Amino acid sequence: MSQITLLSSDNVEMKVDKEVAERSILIKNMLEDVGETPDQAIPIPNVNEGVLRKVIEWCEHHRNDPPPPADEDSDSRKKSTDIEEWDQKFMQVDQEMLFEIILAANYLDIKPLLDVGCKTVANMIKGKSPEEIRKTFNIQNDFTPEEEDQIRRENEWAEDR
Amino acid sequence: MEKCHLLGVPTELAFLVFDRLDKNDLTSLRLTCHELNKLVVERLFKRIVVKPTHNLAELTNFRCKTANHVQSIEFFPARPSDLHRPVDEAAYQPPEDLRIPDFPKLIGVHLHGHNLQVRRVAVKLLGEHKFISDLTLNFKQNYFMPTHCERELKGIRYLETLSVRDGRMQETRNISPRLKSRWNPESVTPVWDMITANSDSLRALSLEFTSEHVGNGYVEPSHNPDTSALFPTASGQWEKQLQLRELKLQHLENFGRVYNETEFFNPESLSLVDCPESDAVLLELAGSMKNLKRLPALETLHIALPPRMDFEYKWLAPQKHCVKNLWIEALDSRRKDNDNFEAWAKLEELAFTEFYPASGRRPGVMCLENLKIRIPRYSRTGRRGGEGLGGEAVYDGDGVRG
Repeated sequence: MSQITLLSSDNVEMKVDKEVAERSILIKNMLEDVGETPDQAIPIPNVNEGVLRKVIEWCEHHRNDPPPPADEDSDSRKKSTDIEEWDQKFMQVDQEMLFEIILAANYLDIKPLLDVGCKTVANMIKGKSPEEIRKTFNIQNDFTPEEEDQIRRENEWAEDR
Repeated sequence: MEKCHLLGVPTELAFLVFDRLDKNDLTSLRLTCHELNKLVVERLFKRIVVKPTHNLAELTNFRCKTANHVQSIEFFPARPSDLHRPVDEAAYQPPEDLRIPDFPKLIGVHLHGHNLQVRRVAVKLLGEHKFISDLTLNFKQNYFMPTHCERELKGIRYLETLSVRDGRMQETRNISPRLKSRWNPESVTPVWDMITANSDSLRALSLEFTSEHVGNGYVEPSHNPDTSALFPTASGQWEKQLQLRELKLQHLENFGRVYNETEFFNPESLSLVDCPESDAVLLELAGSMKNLKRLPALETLHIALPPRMDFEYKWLAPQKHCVKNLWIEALDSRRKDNDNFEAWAKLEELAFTEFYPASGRRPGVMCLENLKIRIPRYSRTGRRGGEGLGGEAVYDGDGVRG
């Protein structure tokens, strides 16, 4: 099995199966453009070693997954927040790492991983009161009571989604 | 204090998260801080919904910065009690004094149901937003009719999508059969004026003309208007042919006659729903027009016939080289001489609905994606096997063409 080398933003090289790396559409397109397995490490300037290792771990686990269905952008799929068990455990990381994974998945164009990341964050918000959300994400309340009251009144008209 | 990572993600990624949240979660998120409020408000108020339970006077609670995000307003159906209560026109207050926020980005208004209060707001909105491109008007109740907003409809320009429901209200007919018919073809004149005034921009048109007898098999002479009479057919009325992407006509009697007389349709996609008499007339049209100058080549064709009407496939023949999506809702009349779709070179999707012969009700649509036929078991055994695919037999493309 042919391998390629990835170079993280903090200059750490990682060898990875080409098939695994190609879960990233960005890397897949890069390799297609080059036409052959490159001898040199492929730089991934936006992703540090720790995050890149996590992303590779996810790609390894999902190396044989079929490509995402054509209707991946459909509303029902977008709205679903179901996450399979392995992915749930994979995403049990601190918030800094969680958001780094999301950013990396977006940069590397790994839609299913981006999907899992966004679902995880959505699940952290679901069913919570404003105060509970603030506590979960370390948000400081900068509203005056009058502003809060006005927003509550506007919310009456919001769309049922 | 620890950093808030949620506030650090790019907007487009934050939206991917917000899209998975329902209204309650978004309204909670909105209340956490100014920054999240700014992001969420765009998602939450792109479309607002006005329900009968809302106090419309409270529309003034909208602040400008929130109203700036509203692109579409939907008025949900009125309370059942509103539908059957006589309209007290004396209680109607013209909207001149009504204060509603300015919605600078408003492009869609959808009125599904009304009471006098809603009419007031709707008339005000139509009067103040001349550049609405997507408009749905339900004129099936006494509360709101084209004559109530004649001046406002005249002012609308650059309309791209229009959906109008007019005629007698089926629900009222069922509940109050003694109610006098309000049939008045001239009452729709402002709608035709609006259509002709927007003929350059209009791309999708849906017209539903309900008559009392359609659907329930019950005909009373005084309640049996010919819906084709609603179309103005005077020469010069349709100076410009409408270049439509989609045309949907529902409950229109004598489609063929209207088509002949107006000559204003030129749709890429045609949908005829419960349009009696369309079958024979279209067959005649298709037979007399070798290159279909009159009925354009369609990509999508959807035909739904009223219950108990049979369907001949012959008249579809001239369309077989262009139609990609074909959807037939009718009694299944696939006899030997009917089409097996072998020569439909571009057909990508085919769907049939059969009426359940015993009751005439529609059991659902069988989709034949990629020419895979799905036939409900009841069609062979006389009994339905169950909802969805579980009760269906599946055949591949060879089965269709065999």
